[in-house]
Amino acid sequence: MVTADTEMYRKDKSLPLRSSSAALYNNLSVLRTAGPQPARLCTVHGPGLSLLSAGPGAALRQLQPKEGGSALSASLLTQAAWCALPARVLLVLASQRGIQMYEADGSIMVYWHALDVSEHPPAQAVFARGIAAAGGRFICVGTSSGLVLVFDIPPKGTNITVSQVLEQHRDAITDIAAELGQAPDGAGDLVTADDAGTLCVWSTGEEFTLRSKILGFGCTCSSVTLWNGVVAAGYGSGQIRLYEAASGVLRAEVNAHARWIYALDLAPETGKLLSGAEDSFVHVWQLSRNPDTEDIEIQHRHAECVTDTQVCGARFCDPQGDSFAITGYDLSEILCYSCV
Amino acid sequence: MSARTLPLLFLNLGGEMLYILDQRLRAQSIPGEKARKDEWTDVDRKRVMNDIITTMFNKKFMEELFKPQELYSKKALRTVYDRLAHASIMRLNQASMDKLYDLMTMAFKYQVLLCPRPKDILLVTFNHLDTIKDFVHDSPGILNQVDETFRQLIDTYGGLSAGELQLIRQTLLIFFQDMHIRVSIFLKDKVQNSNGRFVLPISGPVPWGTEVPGLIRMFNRNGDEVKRTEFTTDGNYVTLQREGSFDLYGDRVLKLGTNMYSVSRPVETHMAGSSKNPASHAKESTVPNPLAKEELNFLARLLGGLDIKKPGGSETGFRLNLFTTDEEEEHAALTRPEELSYKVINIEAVQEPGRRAELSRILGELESAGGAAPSCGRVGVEGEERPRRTAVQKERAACGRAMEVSHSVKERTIAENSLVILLQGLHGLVTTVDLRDESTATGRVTNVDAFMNVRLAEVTYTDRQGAVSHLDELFVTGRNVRYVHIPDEVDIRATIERQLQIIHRVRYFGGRDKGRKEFPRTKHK
Repeated sequence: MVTADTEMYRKDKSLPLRSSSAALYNNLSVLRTAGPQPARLCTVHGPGLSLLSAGPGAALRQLQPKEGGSALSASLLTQAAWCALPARVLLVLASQRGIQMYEADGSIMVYWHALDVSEHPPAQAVFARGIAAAGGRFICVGTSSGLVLVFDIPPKGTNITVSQVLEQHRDAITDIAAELGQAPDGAGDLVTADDAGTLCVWSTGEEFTLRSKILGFGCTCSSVTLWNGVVAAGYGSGQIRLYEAASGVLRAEVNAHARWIYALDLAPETGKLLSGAEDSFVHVWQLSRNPDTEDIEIQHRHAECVTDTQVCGARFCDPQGDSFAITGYDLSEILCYSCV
Repeated sequence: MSARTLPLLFLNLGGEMLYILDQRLRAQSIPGEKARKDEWTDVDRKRVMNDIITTMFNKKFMEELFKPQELYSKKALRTVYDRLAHASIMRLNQASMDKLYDLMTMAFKYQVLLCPRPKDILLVTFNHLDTIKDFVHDSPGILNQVDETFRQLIDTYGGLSAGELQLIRQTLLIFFQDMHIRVSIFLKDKVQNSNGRFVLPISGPVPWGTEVPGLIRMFNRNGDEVKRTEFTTDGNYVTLQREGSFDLYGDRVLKLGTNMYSVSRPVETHMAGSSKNPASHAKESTVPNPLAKEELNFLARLLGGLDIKKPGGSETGFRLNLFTTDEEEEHAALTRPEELSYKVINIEAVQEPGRRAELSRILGELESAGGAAPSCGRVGVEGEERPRRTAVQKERAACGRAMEVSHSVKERTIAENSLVILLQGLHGLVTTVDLRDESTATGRVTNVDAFMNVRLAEVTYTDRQGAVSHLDELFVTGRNVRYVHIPDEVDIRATIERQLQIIHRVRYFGGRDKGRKEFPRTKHK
């Protein structure tokens, strides 16, 4: 059975970057706006970050984060993402040294959290990875030791504090995602993923509580999203798996890609799922719930081959999922596609 | 990011280097009895290969290599290979060495990019070691050394999870990012495009443990499969029949990392227009590295572990040419785009005396082999590309001639009473000026006035984002100067004295008490 209603996406004008994107999970962040054009995009290149404003008068800016203390030593960034909270939008950078939070335009550094390098054995890599806004006033960032740091963000000012540390993972955190739609009762509204493929579903609030824990099958979960109580996880084996967030039951398994998946994204208003992987393919899927059986269904909608590019970042540019942007390793541009 | 990347990087690049050297040595070698004294024989080839492999797998060196550490710059690593290639009686000149290094790095970049699973990086490494073992199959001692490293690899990496290995792979990919040198053998095999990007196949076997894309299975609440659909893509994949062996001996299945050269398939690199992103190349080579000191320690430790044999008194040392003819080699040296020239590392940093002595001994040998550039480094690591070197040497000979002294009495007085006089003594030398906005300018000093306004010629200007531009001339206003690097060969005291003398010569032109006076003398009596 091949899905009947395939949608067509066509390539738009691409956005040039000054330096190419690094091969890191989820290496593209889009700050969505109400309009059809994305407001801002960013991608990581080694120690620096390329910030782009799309649309007419597109501007390109490089951000070279300065580390607290030593201004000279450059450490590699692992991820950068915008966290849109109801009160404010922050640009969060995760690197080998720690976590930095900037105002949305990257102009002012608001907060800097250093990772303690000395308490780790020398052979272990130390870094932060996995960024998400959650629960209206929190930002969660994962670390290489498996901890998830929860930062309490005040509506204004720089008085950011670590309100909680979630200790459930034993391997390095890869990605964190918050509920994009409406969480069913008791389903949890935050999911964290790690190198061993373990997923943890949490309920946010004053105290974060663990709702369910989904054990991996030995394969890294590199990217994860959460939508209406459905966890969609992309794995190193090229599979996408859908779980019920509340119970942790596997509802669908898709042999989606031939190589390691690097990015997943979800359009909150339509339930479209975007996946990008090292096999140079980008797929668009449709998630839905069967109203009769409550079963979760997934359909393939569109496949795009980005010739000779290992895709490392893919994001929808609007909440309906009518356009998306991707970038790849060694690629000095962001490619944009939109629905026809 | 991963602190375990260096051994894999070093061994694989080393393997690629040996493949190329072996191929070139075979192509240039001449049957023993016919050879003149300065020509290669098979015996020499064997000896060179054995010497290099012994040096590479030296126990002490391997110990240093396997210590957890960050990756250092391409430049630092290049220096190690420079030493390694010269571990025997063979000599490579700068152009050949550049080419060798380009080929090595592009070959390994291809392997890292294409390796199906992160774990397959190990199979690539094992393929290299298997071939190296073939090279030395009749020398049990060296074979033993290689096997020792083999075991160490299995010990270190065998237990790592896929996630950790992926991190190693990502670290390697960051290291090789923005290198787009075109290699003829890849272009011919259609695995590289003319823009320098590698071709990613969308057919063939999927990685071990991965399912062929196309199947969707859906389950109900109890975990029973309720629906199965399929989708099609342009990809045309098949399942891999078996996994490669991660043991000391065995079939690796994976072909990446095996020897792709043969005598009949010489390789070429294409420089012109090959780099899609030249700015980032230049960034690598011109920005003073803040990690310079750590990098020096790393080099000292690594090179300290290398046991280098110098050619004995009676031996001339054979020269190997990576190009078909000597003319081509010379041409390549001259036409190589500046941003692609690897810099020779010169080291002069404040360090513990013991290590410093050791380092200068080691690098002294390097200089005798390659003829290194005049160093210019208070920052530590700094260098000159080859084509410019002769010009610098000429200038150095002429640097006794100083800059004109200002006609202004005021300026002369300021200069005389401040250290600006030292900067004026740098006239004609190539140096680096750090600006207050974090940018740097490297060029030849043509003028420094009393207000420290500096005029430079033939300037490489690196702005604070790292973007590099080449300017014929650059005028830096004094208030923007943060730091001027004094070249190492400058004797500070002698320079100041020489400058003072020149000022005095102007001031007392015509002799004391004759001519117009700069300062009115106090009347005596």
